[in-house]
Amino acid sequence: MDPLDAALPGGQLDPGGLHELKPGNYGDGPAAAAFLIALAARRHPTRQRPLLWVAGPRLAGELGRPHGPGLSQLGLAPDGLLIAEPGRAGDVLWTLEEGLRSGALAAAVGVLEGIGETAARRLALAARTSATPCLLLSGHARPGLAVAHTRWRIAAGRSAPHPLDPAAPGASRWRLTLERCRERAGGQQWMVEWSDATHAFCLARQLADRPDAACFARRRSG
Amino acid sequence: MLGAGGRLTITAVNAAARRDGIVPGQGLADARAAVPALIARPAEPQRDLAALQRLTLWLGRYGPSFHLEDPFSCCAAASRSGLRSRPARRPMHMARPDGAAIDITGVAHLFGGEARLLADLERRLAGLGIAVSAAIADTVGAAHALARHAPARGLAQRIATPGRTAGALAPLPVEALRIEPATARLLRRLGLQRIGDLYGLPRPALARRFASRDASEAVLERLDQALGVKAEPRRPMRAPPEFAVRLAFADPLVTAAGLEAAIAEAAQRLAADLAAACRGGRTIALGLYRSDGTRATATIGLSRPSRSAAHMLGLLREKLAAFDLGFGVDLIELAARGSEPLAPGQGQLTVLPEAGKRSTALPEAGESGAALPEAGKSRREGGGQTGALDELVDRLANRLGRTRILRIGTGASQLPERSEILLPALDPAPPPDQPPLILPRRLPSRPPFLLAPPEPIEVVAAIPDGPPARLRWRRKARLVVRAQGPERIAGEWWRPFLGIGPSSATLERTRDYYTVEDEEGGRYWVFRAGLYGEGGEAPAWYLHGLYG
Repeated sequence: MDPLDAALPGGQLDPGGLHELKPGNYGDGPAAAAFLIALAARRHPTRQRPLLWVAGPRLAGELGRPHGPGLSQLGLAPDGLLIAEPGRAGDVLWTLEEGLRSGALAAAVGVLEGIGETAARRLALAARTSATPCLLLSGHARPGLAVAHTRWRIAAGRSAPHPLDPAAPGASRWRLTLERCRERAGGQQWMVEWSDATHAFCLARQLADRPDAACFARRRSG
Repeated sequence: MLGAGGRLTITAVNAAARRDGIVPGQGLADARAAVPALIARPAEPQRDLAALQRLTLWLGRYGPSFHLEDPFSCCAAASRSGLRSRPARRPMHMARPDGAAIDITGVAHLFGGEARLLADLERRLAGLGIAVSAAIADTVGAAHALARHAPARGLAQRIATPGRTAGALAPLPVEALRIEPATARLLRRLGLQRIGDLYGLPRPALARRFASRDASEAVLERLDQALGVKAEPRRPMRAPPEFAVRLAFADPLVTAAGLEAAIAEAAQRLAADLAAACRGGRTIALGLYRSDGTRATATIGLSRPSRSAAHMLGLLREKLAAFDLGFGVDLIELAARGSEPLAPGQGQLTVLPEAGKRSTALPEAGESGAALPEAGKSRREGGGQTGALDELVDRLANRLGRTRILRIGTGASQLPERSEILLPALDPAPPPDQPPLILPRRLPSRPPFLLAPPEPIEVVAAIPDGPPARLRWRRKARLVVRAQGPERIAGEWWRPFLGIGPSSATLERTRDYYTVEDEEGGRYWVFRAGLYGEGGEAPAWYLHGLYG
């Protein structure tokens, strides 16, 4: 994720910050969630220091439940996931805040419809005191948060053909826009591709339908 | 006040009716003839029983082990001291619990002696409008007899001095022995009016008088049980806790702050008791006895045995908001219901200033791994990472519910939705030597999110056995541009034969999975359940997972 990291202050996603991820469109929810998983996996959650996944009662049905084998293909060990399914919408924020304050987590992830500015400020404060990043996946039509360190807009991109089977979908691709970045000018766009073999992002070639040579070579060797 | 059963009979009467000569067991028609102004209401044995159960739970304030008394059941109790109370509206002539017995072994001194305990109980129940007749004796049988049949109402007559049970029972009628009315009538015909008359009787001679051996044995067994010669097993309503702390207050607590302080005190004492026994609690139960004769409880579960007072208080504080204090709480009980061995931990060499302020004792494993959220920082510096996580899981699970904090575990199935199961994080981790799930070393691609249950979709395929060309999911049509598959996963065809679980067509049928991508880049994991040409129901398509 070198080009992405280079665009961020400090060369990485601020570990003590609040990061907002939004799907580009209604149908891009799964793409944004998968990108979020890949992003959170970079914190290397383990059983002793897990990733807390909090999904509100309605959105859990929309997106489905995290599935272990699929998570490990995105680089996240299923063992390192702690799933919270609060029955009431009000408990989602409470759970996130408790998780952030405990300092026992690799990261806290909230899947929400929307969040008020005051509640977001509380989460940001909790994230800062414990140096645990808080990643929020919220609805695409909601306004962005002023308190967020970064805001990403994620849309699914059409994948390149599979190198071994032209009819099959290739590696996952996301069209990313860094809409907001504290201390930096936002607005950069990338087309990134996920490599199953190296468990890393790489920039996809802008020319669609042509496999990226570097990615291809890495996959072959891995 | 009447019960049905062929004819209507009176089951219970109040004081006014008794003055007019109405007795339980009388027919309603006879009673009406005698007292035309009689007010009769249908008997509600179920509600009576529920009320008695509630009352008995509340009576738990007088002793840890208590049970409902059923005079004609074959198992009733034997204890050093039994105490019986009887609510006024008890249904008679029915083999159902009509009283409560409490084991007050070693408890009386807390109330200033047995007489004071009894007086306190009667005063409290009278204040609640419940007429009670209670007695204390060495055995449950003797207490039963004294409570119901003592001639004088004075306190002294209803407390049998330890070791003098035989003397106290001697003047009581034989009905007091918890025997069938028919048996009691026979004894009276034989001239055996009082329990004392039975003492000196040769036993074989008594047995000959009865038609059946059972009846004579019942009398002798009840007599022996009442006198404490024979043991009487009993089944308490609630298992007595292993460790319990009780705090009683002269004035009822009415504020949440006061209650919290009291619970903190109780938690400190419970933690000390647990530490002395080298154990940690897994389930902590808090009982609040309100002054109006009701009882509220809260239970917290812990992911690891703990004896940290601060941790218990932190978890209980979450529950306190839901409590209605009513007219005030005059007794609290904090009990460890399940406990496990918890060795004292290694004390830390460097005692952090905050930790030192909290307690003077050396920090221990269970203690250091569990503290208030405010104190979380100091512990993290001390390196108690796992402790902080356990504490977080406890807090989340106790507020949201045990089944709402989950971890991914493996299930014994090839079907994707059954190959992993979500386990409550509060439960102990499975042993690492569990047989691993048999799956290909590197699975074909799997989606990170799985819909439960799979959602039915409409599919148009170029050839029946081929991948979808178009699909309609959530009311939106999508054109498939790329597809990979099929990956065939056999269904659990044995289910209908063994009759396991909910029979579902999608679980039993063979599935062909495809990874498809639509023109917008959305990727889905779809499957066709069933094969063409196998007969039976036509194959159906489902969307099972979502890729990024």
